[in-house]
Amino acid sequence: MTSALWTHLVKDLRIEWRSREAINSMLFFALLVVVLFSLAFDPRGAFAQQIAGGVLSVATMFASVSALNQAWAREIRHQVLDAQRMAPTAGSQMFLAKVLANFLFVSIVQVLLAPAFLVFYNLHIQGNAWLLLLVLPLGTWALVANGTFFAALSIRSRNRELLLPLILFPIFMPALLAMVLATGSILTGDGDPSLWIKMLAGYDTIFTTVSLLLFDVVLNAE
Amino acid sequence: MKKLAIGLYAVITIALMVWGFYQAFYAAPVDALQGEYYRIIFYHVPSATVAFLFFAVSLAGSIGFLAYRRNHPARAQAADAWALAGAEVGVIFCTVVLITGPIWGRRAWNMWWTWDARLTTTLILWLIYVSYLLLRRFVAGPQMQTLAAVLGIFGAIDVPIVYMSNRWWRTQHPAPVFGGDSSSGMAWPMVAVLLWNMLAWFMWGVLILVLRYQVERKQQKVAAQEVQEALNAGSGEKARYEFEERRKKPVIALLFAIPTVLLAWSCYLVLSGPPQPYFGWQSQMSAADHDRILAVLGHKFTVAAFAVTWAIQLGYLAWLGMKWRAENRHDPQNQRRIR
Repeated sequence: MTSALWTHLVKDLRIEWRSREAINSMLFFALLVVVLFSLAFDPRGAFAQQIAGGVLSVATMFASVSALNQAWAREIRHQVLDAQRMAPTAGSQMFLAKVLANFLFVSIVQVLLAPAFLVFYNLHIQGNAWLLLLVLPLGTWALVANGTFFAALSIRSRNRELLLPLILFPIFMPALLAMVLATGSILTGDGDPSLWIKMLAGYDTIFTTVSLLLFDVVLNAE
Repeated sequence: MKKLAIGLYAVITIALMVWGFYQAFYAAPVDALQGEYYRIIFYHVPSATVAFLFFAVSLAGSIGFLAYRRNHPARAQAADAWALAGAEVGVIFCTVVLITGPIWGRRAWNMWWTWDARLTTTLILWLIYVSYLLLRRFVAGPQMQTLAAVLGIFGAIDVPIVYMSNRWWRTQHPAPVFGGDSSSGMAWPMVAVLLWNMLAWFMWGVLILVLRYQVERKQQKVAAQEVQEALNAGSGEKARYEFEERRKKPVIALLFAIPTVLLAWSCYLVLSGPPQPYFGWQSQMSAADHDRILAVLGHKFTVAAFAVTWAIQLGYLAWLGMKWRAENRHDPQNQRRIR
């Protein structure tokens, strides 16, 4: 049952290990967004603390969209996706494997980006720093689970690279809001982020469940 | 008989709209705190209710399509048409909400927009359904309906989050008028007016919804016929009708003039201040009545909100009419009749 999931996961990780395409491009793109935001908003002092959470979330969001498009475009080449549709396993396993792999990639990017972020924005965390270990993975999961699903959906359209952000961002917005407000309140130390963490957890549960249930429909849409 | 029933329904709807307009604009008492501009609520709240209701129709259509697409292709097509009609008409009503809201807010809060939870989430909801409509344009072929149904379900899951957000999040939007805490509620005459307008807008919405549904069904039929024609490889008559359509377009485009004028007028009102209406019939009215009408009419925010609402609704109706005519011209049945 889980062997198909494992096979897909190992395959995706191996491809990434050999090419390092996704992580490298995401990392550089996210770095660019962070630098661009610093130039645009000139963050200093308390203001930097306030906007840092939002910049981190938005940088991750933009960066991961490019990688998520590639994740499925790779499967389209040589009709690999058609072959996988004929395989006698549930499509949701392939989906979950892709989500896990991309979740890992985006998390690595966030970990690598964190030092640059702390330096550029002169951050010193005033709330409970360990809560970030809860907020960032939850937010990233929301982004990657929905992103992988909608990338598979938009890969069928004529202009696939364009469609993914158009349908992903509106659905992702509540989670983005929760992620930004939670990281903001942890960084500045005012307010209680627990409500937002709960909301992120609820969002993740709901949308991951629905994605798993509907993935076969998207995969086999004719 | 069917035509008579539809006509009767339309007449009752229009009568109700007129009655609701009279009630909202004139008969409802002045609000103790807000004065005249609170009347925007009579268009704002019913539009929001109808929008949410139609997003639910869209969800039902999406689920129906996914459930029937294997076993009952005909039913699935109808469900898909309901899903599209619900989403599109819902977006129209949601647009009305998003425009009348800021007009009220400009007067009540002294700002057009605030990034408060309910406003933000209504905007997000609007964005989600616009992206649903975009997806329907971008994806080609029969898989479009399946993918759209999936996105429709995702969009609908966001609706309860939007609804609950009003209570979860600290918010600047007025607390729920009904079913809130003990200080919520409205005086009965106002509730009656709100209910009249609710009914009128609901009936109007259903009328538009059914029209949109019929247009989509017609389009599905024409598409199916075109596939059949392509299979038969007989398309000698086509060029003539396409030419005819092109010739008639300028006349139909005139229909857009009315909503455009209304929209321009309301923009003018917002930018330049209230108009100074001249009442030639003022001798027949009591002085108090006259002052009241001036107070309401002179309130540019109320007038602008009502005018924008009507501009959007009538503009959409005109666009639907155009689409209906275009589809009818493509319909092979009608072509045979013309021939």
